[in-house]
Amino acid sequence: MVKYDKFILKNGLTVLVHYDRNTPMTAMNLIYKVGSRDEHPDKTGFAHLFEHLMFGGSLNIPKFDEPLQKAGGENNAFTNSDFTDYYLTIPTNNLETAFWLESDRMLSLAFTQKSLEVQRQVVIEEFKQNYLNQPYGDVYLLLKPLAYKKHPYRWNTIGKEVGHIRNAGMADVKAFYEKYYRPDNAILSIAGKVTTKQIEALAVKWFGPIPAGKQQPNTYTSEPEQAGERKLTVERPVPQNAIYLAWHMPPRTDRRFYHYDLISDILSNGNSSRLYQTLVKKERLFSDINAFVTGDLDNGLFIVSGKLINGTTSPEATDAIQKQLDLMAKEMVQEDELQKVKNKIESNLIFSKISVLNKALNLGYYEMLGDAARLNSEIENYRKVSSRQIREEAAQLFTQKKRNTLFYRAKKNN
Amino acid sequence: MFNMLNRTEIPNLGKAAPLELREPECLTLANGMEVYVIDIDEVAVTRVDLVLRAGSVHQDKKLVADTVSSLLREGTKTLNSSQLAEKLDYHGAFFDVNVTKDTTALTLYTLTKHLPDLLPVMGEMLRDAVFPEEELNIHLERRRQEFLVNIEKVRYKASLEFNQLVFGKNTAYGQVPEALDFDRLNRADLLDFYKEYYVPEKSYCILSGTVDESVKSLVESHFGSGWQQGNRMEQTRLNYSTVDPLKAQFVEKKGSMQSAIRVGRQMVGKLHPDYNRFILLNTILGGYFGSRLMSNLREDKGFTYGVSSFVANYRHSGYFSIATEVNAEHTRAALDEIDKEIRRLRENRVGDEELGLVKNYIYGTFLRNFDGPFALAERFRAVRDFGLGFDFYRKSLEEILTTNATDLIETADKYLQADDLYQLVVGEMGEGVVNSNK
Repeated sequence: MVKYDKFILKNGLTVLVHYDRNTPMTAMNLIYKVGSRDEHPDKTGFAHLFEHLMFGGSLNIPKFDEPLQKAGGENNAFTNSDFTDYYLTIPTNNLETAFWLESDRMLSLAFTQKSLEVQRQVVIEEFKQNYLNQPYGDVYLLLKPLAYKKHPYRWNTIGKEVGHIRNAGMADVKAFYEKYYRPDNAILSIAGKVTTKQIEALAVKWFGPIPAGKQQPNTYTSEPEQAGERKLTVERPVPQNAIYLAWHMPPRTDRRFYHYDLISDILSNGNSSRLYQTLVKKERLFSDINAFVTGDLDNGLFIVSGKLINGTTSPEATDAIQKQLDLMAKEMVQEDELQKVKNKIESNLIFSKISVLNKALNLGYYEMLGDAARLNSEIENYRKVSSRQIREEAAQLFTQKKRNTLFYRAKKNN
Repeated sequence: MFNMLNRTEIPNLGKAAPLELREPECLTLANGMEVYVIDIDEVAVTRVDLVLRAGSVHQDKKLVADTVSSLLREGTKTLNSSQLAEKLDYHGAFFDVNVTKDTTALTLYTLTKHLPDLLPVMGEMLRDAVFPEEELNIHLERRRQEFLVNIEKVRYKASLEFNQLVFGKNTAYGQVPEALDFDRLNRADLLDFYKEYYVPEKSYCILSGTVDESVKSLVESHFGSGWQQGNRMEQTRLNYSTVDPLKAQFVEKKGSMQSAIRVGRQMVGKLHPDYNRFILLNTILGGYFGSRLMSNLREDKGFTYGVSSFVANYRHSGYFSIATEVNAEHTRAALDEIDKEIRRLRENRVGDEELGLVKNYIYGTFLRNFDGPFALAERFRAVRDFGLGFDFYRKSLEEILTTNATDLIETADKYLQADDLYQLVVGEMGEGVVNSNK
């Protein structure tokens, strides 16, 4: 049980506080509800580039990292399709430094040309390092536009192409900041040996004076129902053929999310899982296989990905996977097997409550989903899923005419 | 009130409290193995680490240590591969193996209530693994594929090549696998290694999280009384390293968008009087986000997504390395900047402001590293392998905090001479001239 208090400042900033007596460190997590789904189709990769710019100096503080390090702190950030998350840990007696830093960059950035130029370069190198100069690195750059035709999930958070990042200009940066980096679009969560009273005083002092935004919430073009099977084959200089199958599934906040999450665990969580035992160990068609859900705020994807053993053909691979999915739609999962994946989720949730950083991250995340209290009740959502529901949802989801298949063929070297 | 808020100055910083670490309680089992207990029972979970002196330096053929550890979960006298998997998964437990140059560590994370079901399983893997031929074949095929994918990555390729460059080909610390090694292993190799090195001598166990008396007695029955002493070899049969006169190497990978760069050397270990000073020096150079290399190569020039430097400790040696992947066309320029930063450390005193900042940062890192029972277990392992205890960290921090700019310049002069540094590039040289000597 992660106990917490919640309050909202006059400018709309939501604050969550968790008391943990066991550690000299305090964790601070700040979520801005903006991700790559908020980007213009011709200016993709921007939310993530912006995350980099948040470290390039704010109104009164030329460098974010320097004073934080001086205070013994450490930080990082990440961006995904739906939100951007900044987190740090700092010795508790220096916590005010974290408030000073985070509030200043919410108040206003420095908007220097140099920072923009350099971070464009850095992000382009990140693009290359993780997506282009890496075997199988471009898989999601291909799979997402195959599966999505209208919704902004059709591009990746890193961006559609390097050119979009190269072209990002200062006017874009300012407009983006004005619209999204406002207190009423943010959630601050703190975990450590701190009282709610202390945090409230610090939050009012440092974040209180920042004006609220004038934005309207975005709406997103919903993805139309997929009308037929889609396939794409590409050839790349990689050692091994690979296959990726994707189906659309309900959003993270839909109750069916838990059904699909459990299905993915039955299929591929751990060495005892079905896909591993059947397709890797018994039939030896794959060297590696995985099933997972993306858990996005809008309709997400259920993905099965596998690397083929030499000799396995593309139709064999597809059929073998489809057969396992069809089995889920035909036969009820045994009580024991269902209990097993529920146990694993329960144990994961307990393990995630060990560090202050995880607790701060999770409180913020569940608050963004609608209510931080869900961190504590989440396990119930899994516990109540029945074998029958699993079978019904599997039958709904895994139809061939709504399947997206990416076949990633190994090009033989000369 | 609005105006009283000073946003330009850092708020007053608190005083650094001394690091307080209690040495773990140490028990000795019937077979002589030591068990260290870090009992913090905030959450009902337990981590069990079993560390064997069975690293890659001990193997006679490449990949043996690693393969033995991976196959522990593929069959014991009473449980086959899928039964073992079922048992671990059903209880929501995580079982990891980690092979380093000097050791193999088996780690179990579980809810404490499941230990009576799972410790016997871990005990069986330790004493009664059977290494089925069929499972070995599946495993090697998968690992070979994985290896072929990894070797395409300039970063991975560079880490192997650099290891070999610094310690010498086919030495105990310099050996690295190649694709053919996956075809050379057989079951007998595994059995030999298992018999010789999976023994209580020189092994130890760390229990962390919730550890009550019942946990201790479980450990006694499954790792203690039931596990017999063996007769292990004292040393590796190979030399730990050789010294190669060739200091620079370029491995071309045509069409690479990025080049992987490594610069470094063999380095003294935790027991050496210069060690802590060098750690401080390394942090300044490339050991944190605001380091000189990051500020220069990333934040100023945009050559790379990231650059870092680090020190790795082995039982009989260690190394220091700078590591980065840079835009291929700036490979030469990046190497020059790295040279420049190293020279600056040798020639110019580190300023008070920077030195103070880095010391504070390191202090914060120490606090962070000891946060929670599992982190404590990891930290303890990192020193116990060298016969040290938590006291090492207290002294280490004290030494770092009292090191001054003169000490640093001396340390840089001693360990960072250009002629002593090895340099490796995997990828493309870009505009610069390909040059295999510096």
